[in-house]
Amino acid sequence: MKAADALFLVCVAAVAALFVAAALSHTETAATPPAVPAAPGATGRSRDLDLERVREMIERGDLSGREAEFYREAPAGPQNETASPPE
Amino acid sequence: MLGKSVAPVSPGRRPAGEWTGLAWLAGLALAAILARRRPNPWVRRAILAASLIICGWHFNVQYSTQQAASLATGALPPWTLSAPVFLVLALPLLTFLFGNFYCGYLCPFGAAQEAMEEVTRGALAVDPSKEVWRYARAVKYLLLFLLALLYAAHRDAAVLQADPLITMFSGMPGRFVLFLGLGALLLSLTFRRFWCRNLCPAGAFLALCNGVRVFRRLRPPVQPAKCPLGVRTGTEFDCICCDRCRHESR
Repeated sequence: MKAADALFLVCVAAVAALFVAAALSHTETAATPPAVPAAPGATGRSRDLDLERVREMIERGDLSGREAEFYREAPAGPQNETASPPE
Repeated sequence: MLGKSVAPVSPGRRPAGEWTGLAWLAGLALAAILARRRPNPWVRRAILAASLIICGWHFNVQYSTQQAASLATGALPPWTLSAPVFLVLALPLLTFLFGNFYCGYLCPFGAAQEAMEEVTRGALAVDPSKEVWRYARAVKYLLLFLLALLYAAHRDAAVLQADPLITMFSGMPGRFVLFLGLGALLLSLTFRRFWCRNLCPAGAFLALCNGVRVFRRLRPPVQPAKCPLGVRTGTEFDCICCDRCRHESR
């Protein structure tokens, strides 16, 4: 085997290993399929969502009207800042 | 964000779903199919450059495992005239009919790799022997199989994020994806189309589509004996239809 062939195989194996590592690492953050379907309203409290306002924002072009194709990771900080119900 | 005041949306990258992205993608696909009838290296370079700048950087319409998974699972995008619909449905169909011209002529990431090669004029290029590449090319099918398994297990597109083609042109690739993508680009200086030929799972999916030869007359005959990328026979799935073997200059 030529040196170029050996180098080529090493490069392919190395990048493939990186790819596999990345793929497996993403499984940690991936959602696990629920074993039992969630029952709406079983726990917690539903959010107040002003659908009319969302619709207006879509019509104005402030929102796209479809699901985002890419998501940015939320910055670290105080969690559930807005989760508490308004006084 | 909902329920709070929203700042005006700053004009930035256009969403991939806009019809202009579709028009460019479909137009370049048509140009590629027509260009394959009378292959010319400069026409191909022009199509690749347009695809890199317009489809890649501007519109971020790049075929990836996300589209392959969408087709395989039936989770199709809304039926509108849009680039995502074209990528998910039309592209595999066109690959059935005309061969894997996307990889050879249209892929923005493939174009970026060839641009690296053009910059050095191939001075650093070292081609592995066809016998060795015969085994290395199987890696991309293994990676596709791995992603399919993970996707089936988790049913979450997040497991596909290791594919650099999904976010490479999005303007916000993760650090690891950026590292992987840039590494592949650098390696393409030495090994032509390094990512495409050996590791690209999305390319593996299109290669499988390429293997279904429905209308052979629609596919220009290639010359595997002159293939600089390692293809040995005209029936191999892995031909990316770059037409280098058919260029008169070769």
